[in-house]
Amino acid sequence: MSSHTVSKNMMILWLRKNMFSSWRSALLSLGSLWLAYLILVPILVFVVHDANWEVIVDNIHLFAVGSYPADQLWRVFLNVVLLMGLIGGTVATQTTMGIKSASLFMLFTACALWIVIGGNGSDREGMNAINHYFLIAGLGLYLLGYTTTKKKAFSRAKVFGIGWLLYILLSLILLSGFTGNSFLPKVTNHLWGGLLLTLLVTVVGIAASFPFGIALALGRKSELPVIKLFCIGFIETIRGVPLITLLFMGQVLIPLFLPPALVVSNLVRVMIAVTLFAAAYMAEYIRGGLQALPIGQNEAAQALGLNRVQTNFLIILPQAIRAVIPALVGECIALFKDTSLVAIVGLLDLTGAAKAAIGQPNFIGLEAEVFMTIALVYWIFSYLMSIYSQNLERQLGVGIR
Amino acid sequence: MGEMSPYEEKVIVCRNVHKWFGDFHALQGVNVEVAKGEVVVIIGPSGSGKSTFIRTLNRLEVHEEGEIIVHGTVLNDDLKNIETIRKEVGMVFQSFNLFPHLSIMDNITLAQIHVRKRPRKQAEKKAMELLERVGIPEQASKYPGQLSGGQQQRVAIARALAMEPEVLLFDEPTSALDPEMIKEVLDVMKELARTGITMLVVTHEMGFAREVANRVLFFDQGKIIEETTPDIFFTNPRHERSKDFLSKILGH
Repeated sequence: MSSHTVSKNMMILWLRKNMFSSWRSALLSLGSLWLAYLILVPILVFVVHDANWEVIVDNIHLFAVGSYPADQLWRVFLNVVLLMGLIGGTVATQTTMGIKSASLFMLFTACALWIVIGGNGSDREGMNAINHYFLIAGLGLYLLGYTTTKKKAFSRAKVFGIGWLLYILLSLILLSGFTGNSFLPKVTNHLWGGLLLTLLVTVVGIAASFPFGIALALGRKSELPVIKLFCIGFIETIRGVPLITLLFMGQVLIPLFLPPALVVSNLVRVMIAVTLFAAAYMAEYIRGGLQALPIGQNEAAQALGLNRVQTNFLIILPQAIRAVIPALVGECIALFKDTSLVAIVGLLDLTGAAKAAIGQPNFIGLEAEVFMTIALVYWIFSYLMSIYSQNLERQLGVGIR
Repeated sequence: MGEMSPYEEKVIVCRNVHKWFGDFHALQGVNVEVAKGEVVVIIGPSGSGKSTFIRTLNRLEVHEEGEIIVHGTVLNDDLKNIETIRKEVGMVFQSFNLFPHLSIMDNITLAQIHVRKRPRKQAEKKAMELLERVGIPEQASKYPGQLSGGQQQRVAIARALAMEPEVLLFDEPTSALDPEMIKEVLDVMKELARTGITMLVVTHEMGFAREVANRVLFFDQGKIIEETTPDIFFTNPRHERSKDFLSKILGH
């Protein structure tokens, strides 16, 4: 018997066992297949036949970077290329991430990269060739980061924590540039937009809200009544208000707190609002992790002579945080998707760009195409975070009793 | 106290120590002195205050009245004093309390590096020596969750010893262990007792008390009601409640 017939038999067996084991399950299986047919076929027909994808192709610049000047695009590209190297290295620190999920990760990241870089040439004469170099450089750096880290050149997660922080700073400088500088001319941040803006708000929001959330969680458990009351008040106030309200309040209130000379751009106000919002939720998740820890951990640390700060940072927080990683990553994904609300306060993020594209007179009535596309983009990034978190959990699961 | 020579160095001095949990008067005037190198076993029925007592010695519980002096330092609200004392007092817990997110090696080196400020290399060398002493050097790279209860408790002993403490406190170190693992932990403790380190051991292991203790303290209702050598305590206890306790614990 050839292996082909064997696998065919296996499939029939599998079908019989899992889909047609009884009359009722056969009926349910057929019913589900019919429903799937009803839903998927029209979508497929729409995607390959009816849809007018010109709205996406023509607006790829808008979707990717908003109004960022075309002749300065290389700064965005360079950013993405560096990001690829960092992601490659970070993925390689995930010792439990198999080749399969690592390559899936790479495939998804490459898709994301292509959205930003590859597509951008189509509406710009002469940019195409350069874009391809950027694309190749990004993939190359990803592989370089991955392989060098796999060789244990610098496999400590701490290195990458610092690397990410430096990257965020560097990329902000690279993107905004300096007034009067001919090499890096100033690009004011109301020109930033599209996926670039969405990712920026997300990454800054996550990076800033995480330490802030830890501080709030510890503060809420503090024995000092003033700190404790402040933290409880802060957390409960923020959690009691929808994000959109915070965004509006950020527009109006933050300028009131600051001296008139200090003008804070809309983007920074949005980042502050998003950070405060996410921090309150992170604090509550981390507090849950703190409460789940047995009291003996604290006692053992004290008995060894560790002071309170050492106890918190060496013993308590590492355990509390890893216990709530699924919830924290969930919060990161939620934050990423919540950034779509910034379109309401006038920023041209991915969702804002979508709304702008629909409003163009030559693309009227193409909502389906536009929203399907940005949904796919949101999904790709959310799923990337999800894969990463699952591996992180598996890796940190080592030695947990 | 009476039998002790006043010229010996006192590592622990407790005078009239009281402790309340709400309305419950857990320690009702405890007076003890422990000399350097002594092995003191503390026994008594559950709820008699014996665990609470040894937990007051390194400030895991706060005593409300009386005086505790450890290695010349007065135990009070002064954080500096508490830190000094905790450096000198090691503790082994009933439930091991190893740090599950750290390897066995890191469990033993952590406080050496961050409290004793030893270089990592030196701390690791010390840790390996101690792991060999407690008989499990091959487990150094594993995590606590991968070890048996008896092995975990031996690591906990090594972790406490790594700080080179003046005194070791044991809070029912074998109560959470399966019977076949009790012996391996007791053997390590017996070996330690012979090396001359000062030990205070709360335990229900009467064989251990008989074999290695210099002195037995019998706690009941927050007081020490009998304090004597193991020989006398086990053959001829003076107090009615000691007799009652011994008949219950040795009777089966």
